[in-house]
Amino acid sequence: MATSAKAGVLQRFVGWIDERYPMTSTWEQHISKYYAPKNFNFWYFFGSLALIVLVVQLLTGIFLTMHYKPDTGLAFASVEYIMRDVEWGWLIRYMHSTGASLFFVVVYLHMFRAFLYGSHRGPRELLWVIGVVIFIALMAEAFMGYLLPWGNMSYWGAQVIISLFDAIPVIGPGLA
Amino acid sequence: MGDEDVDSRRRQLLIVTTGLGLVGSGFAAVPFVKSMQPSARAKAAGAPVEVDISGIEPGQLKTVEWRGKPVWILRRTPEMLASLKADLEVLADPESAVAAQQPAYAQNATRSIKPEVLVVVGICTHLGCSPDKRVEAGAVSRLGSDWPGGFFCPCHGSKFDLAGRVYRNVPAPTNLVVPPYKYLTDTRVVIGEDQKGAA
Repeated sequence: MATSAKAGVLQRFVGWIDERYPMTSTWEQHISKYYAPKNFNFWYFFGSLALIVLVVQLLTGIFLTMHYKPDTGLAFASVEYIMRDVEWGWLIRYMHSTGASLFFVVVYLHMFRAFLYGSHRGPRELLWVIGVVIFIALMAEAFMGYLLPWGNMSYWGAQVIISLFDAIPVIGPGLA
Repeated sequence: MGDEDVDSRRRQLLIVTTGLGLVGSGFAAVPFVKSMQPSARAKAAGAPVEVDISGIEPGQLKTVEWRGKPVWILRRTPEMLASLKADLEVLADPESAVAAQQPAYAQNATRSIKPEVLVVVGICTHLGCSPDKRVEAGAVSRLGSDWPGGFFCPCHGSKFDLAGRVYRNVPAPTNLVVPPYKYLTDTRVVIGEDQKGAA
């Protein structure tokens, strides 16, 4: 295999890194030689798809932050600016807002797979509980993103969610 | 390396998938890189400015804004043009030798395309104040009766003549900047754009 001098240099470089950092073994353990049952079907795609959507949300979010102004008086105008004046800004914003909705589609299918195949049953109860915590965090995060343009939809959406906490007995009114 | 038991069809599919993924990532990167280009608003803020100079009387000065900077348009009288030749000894750079201070077509005795019309950025080359317009000669300028007309910076006392040329022994090191400009017609001037294109 490694007969040409070029491949030899590459292999020696990888070897040099592997002596100092477990690069190849980490790659093999988690990606290239990761043990997965042969009977995985498309229902099992949605976990890694959720990861891809998360990366897309982070990337588009960072690029939107470059033009967004986090101020109640300036936010809406800065979103208009992104949609109209920033080159390709409309696409990046639509990727971000549609990506948020798709995140939920993907996560719901991921959860449905868990029901379908009993992925939540013992001894994997903790896995399910952690998943629910992440799901609640995702809903909170999506709500915060919904508020960012600070238009009428954001404002009244915030009213509704605040009222939700108002409905909690005893501590609710104080909380809201 | 256990390459003997590798399924070559799978290996090929893997290579094709990785290649397509890389091409797709390349296309996806285009909007992200382009979003960091100047926006339409930034381009509008830096756009050339068109000015009608027909209303400017001889001896009168009009100030217009270009890229947030004041640009002076002065229609010089024959006496003013004569004063440009009077005493070159007091000037630091009478020949406009510093090339960065004006386009090539303004590197002449009047620092302008048309001798009578001066177009110059009204910002002192010392620390960026906007000099006072003391275009009238004599005692009325409050710079002494021998003042031939020009510009005087109140911040640190720099003096410029009616072609924006700096005097000797003042803080400002160079002549005032002549922006790129061109004539659309006899009376319409575009500042920020010349024959070579936009600045």
